[in-house]
Amino acid sequence: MENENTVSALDQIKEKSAAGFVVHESGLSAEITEEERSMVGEIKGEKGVYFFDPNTMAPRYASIMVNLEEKNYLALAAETIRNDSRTYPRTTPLALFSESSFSFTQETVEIILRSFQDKPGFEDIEKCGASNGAMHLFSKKYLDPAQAEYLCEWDEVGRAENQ
Amino acid sequence: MSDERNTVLDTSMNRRDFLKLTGMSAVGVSALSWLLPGCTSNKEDVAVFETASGVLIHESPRCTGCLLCENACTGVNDGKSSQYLARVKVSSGLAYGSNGVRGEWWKTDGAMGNFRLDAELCRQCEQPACALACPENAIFEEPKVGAREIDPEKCVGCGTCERACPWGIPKIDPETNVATKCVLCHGYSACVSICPTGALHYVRVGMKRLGSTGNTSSPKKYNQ
Amino acid sequence: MAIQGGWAGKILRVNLTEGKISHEDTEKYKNYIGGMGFGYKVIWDEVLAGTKAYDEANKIVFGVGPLTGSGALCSGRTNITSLLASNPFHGVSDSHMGGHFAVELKYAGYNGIIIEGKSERPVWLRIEDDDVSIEDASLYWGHGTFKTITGVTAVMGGDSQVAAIGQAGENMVNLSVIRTGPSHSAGGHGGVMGSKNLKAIGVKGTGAVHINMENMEWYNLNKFTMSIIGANNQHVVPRTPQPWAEHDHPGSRWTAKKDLYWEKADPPIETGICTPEQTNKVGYRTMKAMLDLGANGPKYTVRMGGCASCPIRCHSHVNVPQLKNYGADPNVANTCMGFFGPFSVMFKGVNIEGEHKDDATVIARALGSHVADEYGVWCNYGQLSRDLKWTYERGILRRVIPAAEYNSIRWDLLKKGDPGFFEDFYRRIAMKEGELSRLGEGAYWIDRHWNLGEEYWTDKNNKLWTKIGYPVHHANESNGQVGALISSMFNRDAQCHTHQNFLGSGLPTKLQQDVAEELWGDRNAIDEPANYRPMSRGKARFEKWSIVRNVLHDSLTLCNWMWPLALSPLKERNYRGDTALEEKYFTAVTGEEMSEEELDLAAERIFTLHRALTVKQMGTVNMREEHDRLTGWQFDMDPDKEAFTAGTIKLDRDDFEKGLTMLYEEMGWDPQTGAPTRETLEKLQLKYVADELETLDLLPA
Ligand code: SF4
Ligand code: SF4
Ligand code: SF4
Ligand code: SF4
Repeated sequence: MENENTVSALDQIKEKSAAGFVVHESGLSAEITEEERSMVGEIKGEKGVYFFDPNTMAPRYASIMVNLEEKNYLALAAETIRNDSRTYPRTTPLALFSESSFSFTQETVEIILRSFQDKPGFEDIEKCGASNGAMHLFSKKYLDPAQAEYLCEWDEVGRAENQ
Repeated sequence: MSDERNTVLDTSMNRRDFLKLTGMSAVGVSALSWLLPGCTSNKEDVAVFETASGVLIHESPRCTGCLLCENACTGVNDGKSSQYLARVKVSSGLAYGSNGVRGEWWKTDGAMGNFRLDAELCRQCEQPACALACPENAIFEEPKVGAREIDPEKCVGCGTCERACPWGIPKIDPETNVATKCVLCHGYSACVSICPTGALHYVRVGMKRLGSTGNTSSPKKYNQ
Repeated sequence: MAIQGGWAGKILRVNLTEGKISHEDTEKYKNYIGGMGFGYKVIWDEVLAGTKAYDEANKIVFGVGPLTGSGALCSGRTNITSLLASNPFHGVSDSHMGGHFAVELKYAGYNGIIIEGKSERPVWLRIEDDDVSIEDASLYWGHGTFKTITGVTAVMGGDSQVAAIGQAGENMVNLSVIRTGPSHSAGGHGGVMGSKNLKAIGVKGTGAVHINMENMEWYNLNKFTMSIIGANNQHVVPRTPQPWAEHDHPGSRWTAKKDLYWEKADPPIETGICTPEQTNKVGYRTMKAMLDLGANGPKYTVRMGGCASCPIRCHSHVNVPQLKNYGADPNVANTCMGFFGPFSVMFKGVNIEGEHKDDATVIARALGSHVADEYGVWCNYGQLSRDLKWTYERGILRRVIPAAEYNSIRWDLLKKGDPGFFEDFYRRIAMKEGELSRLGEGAYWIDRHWNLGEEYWTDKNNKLWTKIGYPVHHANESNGQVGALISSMFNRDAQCHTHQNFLGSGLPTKLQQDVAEELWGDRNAIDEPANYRPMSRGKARFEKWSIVRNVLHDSLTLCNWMWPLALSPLKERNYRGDTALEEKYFTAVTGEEMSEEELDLAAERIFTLHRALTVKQMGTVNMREEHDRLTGWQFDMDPDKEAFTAGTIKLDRDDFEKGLTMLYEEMGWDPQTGAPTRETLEKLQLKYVADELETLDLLPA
């Protein structure tokens, strides 16, 4: 029988997910049962396991949340850029990272940009610019630089002129 | 009276709407008796009308004038689509508000004015003028939801109900010559269900809270 | 009155020369579905080749279709068909408007209005169900659209709907609109109404459209559509990353998000995150003001709005108190080009003292939209302002405009960035004041008068698509040859959104290709953006399907800015929509069984009739050379890049010719000339068209 005073782990996960958050295993006030575990999504981060409700949260968004929780800003930015270049394909506006759900500070954004240049493992990530001055990023592993340049200009300027 | 509680009503009615809807001060409405001026009568037979289990309300600020509510109302109840017959009426004041064209129309309600849209809805009055006026006693209380409903067998299409209702809700269907009014879709409220901006609600009587401020926190700042 | 089977039963015919009002039985036109189809049929049967747009012999047809007024989602549009004066050979074309005029006309008992002849003095047409009369319009003549619409409504009652022209239409300015409601314009045919001295049409209907389906089944059909509908343009993913969404796209018009408000609502209303399951929030998904009016748009937004029976509210309704400084009503509603077209007239930028640049943008967009709407000037899909810029910057205006007139133009306001320039500019265009007003004749005629040279046409930045004088409207930037070929088929800018909505849905290219394979049997119909491959059969099928559905929608009438719902926001449906929905609605309303293919075939008939009308009006079968020719920049742009390499939308001349051939083949037209053949015409039950073309020697060999 369920104790009336404690909220089940499943309900806690559901509630958090509906509000747009993942739950770290340590954040659960009730033990998660095997059955409950089969009903939720989980992501293993560097600092433990995170749960989310796949009915209200997409795995990709959960992964963004885990990276934010763990302050893995650089990895998150790189993953986002590569995913955009590979999947849609499109370039990623630098401004995206200042908006929610990312909400990086200006300082963080600058550190990320520098790291893309200096640190190993990010050689595929490149910058491109639009005529309105906006900067975008893309992965040349998935996107041709000339195509990236077109897509960046289209996103910033062209689309609004072609309703 | 139903003792069901309304689920949290996510409304953004402002005070003006609220008072307009109820026709009385907010203090007096906690019981939601819907005893409205114009629906009162001294006749003896008023007692046969219990309060309906609920009524419809319309939030003007959320209404965008799509008229899907009117389409749904007549689609579900009449098997056709008509603005004239719809028992929820946004169309009548759509362009220039419920008073029609005025001199400085751009200052008045309606899509051609300040964009504010109102709806006329049946209040399911506790003492319904429509029913009290009907010479055929054709308007009765439907037992399930308590809506005031017209018996098509008894109705002779005289139009007295339409004239008696302070909001002109009943309409004679020109194709059948029978009057028709809001029956709350016998508990279904198609208009509420279809409204794409949640501007219509079915509010159960007995509900405690009306006029929440769920969506009224101050908006974000813009570049000044 | 009962409107059985979706068709209202009759078409109203108004002869303004004789002041005669009569009715046509719809039966004769049913093969052409409604709306656009009715329009072409009437023009084919009744307007002789060689007639000019403003001739008394020209006719103008306001058409609605079987779904108009039924309550089918997004079924509120009016299709207007007539000869188009901005077109060099006055070819047949359509303009459309949303709003509530169409449904009102249907409830009054009509599938359309055929207006013919010419009144001696200004009149307006009053339609109250069966009671139709021609009324004196001298009170409204010379006034703008808002005043006219209000005046007519005052006579007819608050629950009527009015379509009207402004001064531009009265003066037969080629680029003029017919307007209804606060924000709906049909661009191109205002002058035809003006030439007939018809200022406005007021309509009020108390009828109903009967549904030939069980009540709840019908209701559930609409609820199902509500479940697969997206945001404006059937964009099916949100604009920003959101918890519920597997995909997002910065191009999406699904702009709703946390902390985004209709700020001028009383009290302010938050769009919030709108998930696909929340069908009572569909109308919040498209918070268009942040796109239409820029970063500060939401600050001025009272609400969104749009057309009858549409849950997608794509028109921004804003209150901008600063407009009072310009003597204008602070309440302005419009959408997309209605804001952008006028705004780009201020091509030197906008600068208002004491206002932040984002507020100045809102003020200028709202004011421009209001002034253009009041005078009833059409932007020719943004070309009017480009023409102003092109001719101004090259000193052409100084050359062609007499000095006194030139010096009286408020260039000072333009240079300062003061939106007061709108009033000066639009008045001159609408009143045909002086030489500057030639800009209102449209690109082809401007060049004829001012001799702008080949560069005018071949300048990529001037965006002119063919020599017919209309611009890019989802052309080579939309899947290369697909948008390019679609854009070459009409007598004005292609108003086809089928392909554009599909490509702009926000879903990954690979997923779109999967759907392409299902729909057109070829995943190669879709390329990655700006990484195009040579022409393919799949692309030709995608083109044909896009046009056919566009024509179908304008005939039914459904909004092609939303329909078809080929894709959906639902992951559980693997983002598939339902391309059979139009057919389901058609059968539900009319009670006539028609398969998806049969309905498409009917639309193919309508589009082939459009082609035949063009052949007849131009007096040549050689559509390839005379009609479908591009201006050239499409092949010569990006000189350092080859066509079909990454990063360019450049086309290739040979490939384009091949593309034309393939599209002609798909349509069953002559692969050489692109003119309809007798065989195809007969297959489409257009034998009478073939016979007439044969007598004119206009059938391909
Ligand atoms: S369905 Fe809702 S938004 Fe549309 S007119 Fe009715 S109340 Fe207004
Ligand atoms: S029709 Fe009018 S009088 Fe009758 S119950 Fe409804 S609101 Fe009251
Ligand atoms: S129209 Fe029918 S319901 Fe109305 S008052 Fe007359 S008889 Fe009664
Ligand atoms: S509750 Fe039903 S009958 Fe009443 S207005 Fe709404 S749809 Fe019509």
